[in-house]
Amino acid sequence: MKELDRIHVEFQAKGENESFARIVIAAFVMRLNPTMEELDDLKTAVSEAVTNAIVHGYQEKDGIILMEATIEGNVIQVQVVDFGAGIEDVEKARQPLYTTAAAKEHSGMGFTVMEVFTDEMWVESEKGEGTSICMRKKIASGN
Amino acid sequence: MDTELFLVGNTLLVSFGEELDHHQAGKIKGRIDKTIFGNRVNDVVLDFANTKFMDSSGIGIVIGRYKLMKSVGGSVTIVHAQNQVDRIFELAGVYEYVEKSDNVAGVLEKLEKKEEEKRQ
Repeated sequence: MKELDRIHVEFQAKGENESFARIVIAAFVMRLNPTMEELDDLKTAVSEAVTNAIVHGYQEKDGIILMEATIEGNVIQVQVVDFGAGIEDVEKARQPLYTTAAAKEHSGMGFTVMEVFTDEMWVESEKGEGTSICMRKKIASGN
Repeated sequence: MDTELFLVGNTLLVSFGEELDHHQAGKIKGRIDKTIFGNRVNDVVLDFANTKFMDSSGIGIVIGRYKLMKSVGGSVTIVHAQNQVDRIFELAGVYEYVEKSDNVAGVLEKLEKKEEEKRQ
């Protein structure tokens, strides 16, 4: 069995850290030799999860976001956790185009993008406690 | 490279920077709308030639400007959306109502002509 690689990062729920989170994951997944498309897809999915934590989890206020990523074989798994508002109805939230932030021009496509760009994505959330978004992606070219 | 705005006649050309995420979108939205309202902008061209990364926040920017311009009888055109940027717009069905082009000069010329015809 391939050794498990793991990284764990904690950062403030600030807009500047959206880019930072993408760079961290991109750097971590590099060892699997992803194609441009695989890399872009993964970065986008991570960006959506982190943005959700900032916008919905912490309603653009202070907060800590945890991001943990593991690589096993040629599969990368990324988990983004916030301890904010939590989602009342996860099923509803995952419906394409559903958004609670339409006034701020949010398209409601975040979950859809995450689903399309990764192989598996699951959400655990507790109202008032926080949300965890987990996603897995197989990097086909990985060695 | 940061996002730059250019006024070409009555057309606003927005040349987006390398990354368009929620953070960048927040910074640019105000600038774009202020320019549209502060000048006689009849059409908006969104240029993604320099954009290497975009997430669904970009969709929000495009749809928001589309709704705004539609309400004043104007248009929005997406130009030079490549690779992942193009994939996201495709996925969101944005091209079903926003035109796309690979030729920004051609689009600007067409819009200039439209303005001229209106003036005659």
